[in-house]
Amino acid sequence: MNARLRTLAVILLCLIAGAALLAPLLSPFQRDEIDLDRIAAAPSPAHMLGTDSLGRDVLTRLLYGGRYTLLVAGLSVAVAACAGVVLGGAAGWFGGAVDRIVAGLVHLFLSIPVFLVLLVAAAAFGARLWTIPLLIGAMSWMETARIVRARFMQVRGEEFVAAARAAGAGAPRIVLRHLLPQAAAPVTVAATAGLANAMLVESALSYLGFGVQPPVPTWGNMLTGAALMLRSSPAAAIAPGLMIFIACFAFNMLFSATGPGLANDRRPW
Amino acid sequence: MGGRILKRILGAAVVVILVSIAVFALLHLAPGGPAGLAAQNPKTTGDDLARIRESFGLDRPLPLQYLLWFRQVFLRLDFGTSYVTGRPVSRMIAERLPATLELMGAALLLALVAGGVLGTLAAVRRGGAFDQVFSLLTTAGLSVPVFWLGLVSIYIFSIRLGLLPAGGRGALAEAAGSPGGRLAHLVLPAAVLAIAWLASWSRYLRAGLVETLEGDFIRTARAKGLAERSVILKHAMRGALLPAVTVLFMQIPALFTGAVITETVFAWPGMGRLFYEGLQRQDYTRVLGIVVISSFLIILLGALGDILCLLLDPRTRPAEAAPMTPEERT
Repeated sequence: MNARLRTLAVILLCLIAGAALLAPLLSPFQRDEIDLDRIAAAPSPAHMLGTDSLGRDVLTRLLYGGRYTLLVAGLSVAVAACAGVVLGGAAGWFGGAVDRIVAGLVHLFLSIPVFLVLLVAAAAFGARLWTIPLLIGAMSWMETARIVRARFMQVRGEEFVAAARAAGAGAPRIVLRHLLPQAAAPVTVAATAGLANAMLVESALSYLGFGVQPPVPTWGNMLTGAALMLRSSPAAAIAPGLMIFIACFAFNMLFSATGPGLANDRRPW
Repeated sequence: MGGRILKRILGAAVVVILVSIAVFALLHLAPGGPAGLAAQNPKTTGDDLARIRESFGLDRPLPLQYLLWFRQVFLRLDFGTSYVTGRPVSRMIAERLPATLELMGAALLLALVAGGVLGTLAAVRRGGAFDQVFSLLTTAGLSVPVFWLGLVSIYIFSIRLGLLPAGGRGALAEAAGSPGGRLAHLVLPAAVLAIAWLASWSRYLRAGLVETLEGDFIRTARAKGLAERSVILKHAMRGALLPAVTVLFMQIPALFTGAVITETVFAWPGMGRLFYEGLQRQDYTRVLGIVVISSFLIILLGALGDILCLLLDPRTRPAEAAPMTPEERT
């Protein structure tokens, strides 16, 4: 992928993040402000993307929606990274039975209809702003675990680890200060490459009504009733999805454009 | 060989059982549990609720409930009756499964053919303009939300252009009269479901081909004076196809994700929509049944993929003198 496209991706992401952060300054409307005189209205100078079926300004919700969409994607990735580091680290450090159990978990999570289970879990735990990242993270830690385990296995026998041990360092110190930094770079890469995916999962969940609940807007849940608005106000029904697409495209451009996408091997390691 | 197959079957059984336990537990965690819908009705009295719980067997301890469900499902292949429609869940699934398989089959075919051609062309002209466009388009394919792509395609092809129906599967009578009616309903959902699959597997195919094309045996084949066409299709493809096909089968779980979303957007009467509606109405026997059937199908299709790879590649066939089996190597 050439440098110009990467620059474009960075600019796009900065614009999106900036617009989301500055939402109150950019829009004259409140996030949930209802205009009863203009319900499902077509775009006009006052409401540039029209209003939704409750008479809320679509552009304003699009700006605020960016905050929650990006927040949930970021948190999901953070949860996945933590879970992956802990499980992969345990497998790599302890080996033996622990390794086999984690391998079994990875295999399990890679061979189930994850999205169906995610929907059931979202229905069970209640879809809140903080449960959704936990659930999405819980379903997408496998790649990170694989990376951390491999790295741990690789460096566990290195001389600097033996030296640390000889210097009297205990297991926690060796793992945290010596092994973990070795895995930091690939984990960061895997985590950031997961951003687009987390965003897609969140928006699909929210679209189906099991993700973040209104009135908190995310680009996904703004589209929940969109099928019915395609005729009357297509701009309102299409714009939020376009934002998801652009943001994911930019993330994918930046982070996973080098390889053919994340490995999809069902074998744990 | 026999041992490996046995191990696979055991592993698969463990996966299905663990998933069913997890989903069973989740359903009981939900507010109100399986009788939640009845509990929400203000007219339901405590007595009614107790009677409902008793009739569904919900008053028994949870582990016992699971064991009874387990016995019913795995020994008698009976998924119970739907809380909402009162009909046998197995029959409800059996009615919807063909539509889902039809949609998935069409998407698979589309992804295979289109992805195969595009990936090969991109590999052959690597670094060229086509390859660059290919890379951009496949990245786009991996970044587009499936449900939104569905909405946009409905907007363009059925609302603006009026070319294709916006949803449904087409009546059977219509199908008998003109096969085009049924096919027209299939085009949009299958294409939308195929996009992400197409994008990722054609990238794997391209990457595999680019790698094999640099091999010594390709140089030899070229030096022998073979036509470029036959070098690529006969020699390079053989090495590159296998990993790509493996990837294709690894992504079957993702196909079920796509099916739920696509079927919902296009009102396609398949298992995915049955699941979604079941979840909305808290129809727990149905939800549990569909998760189990989907897990089973995923494992079955995965096993088929493995067998296909075994047949395609002589190297993965375990021989007497084989130095290492793949399990030993990992």
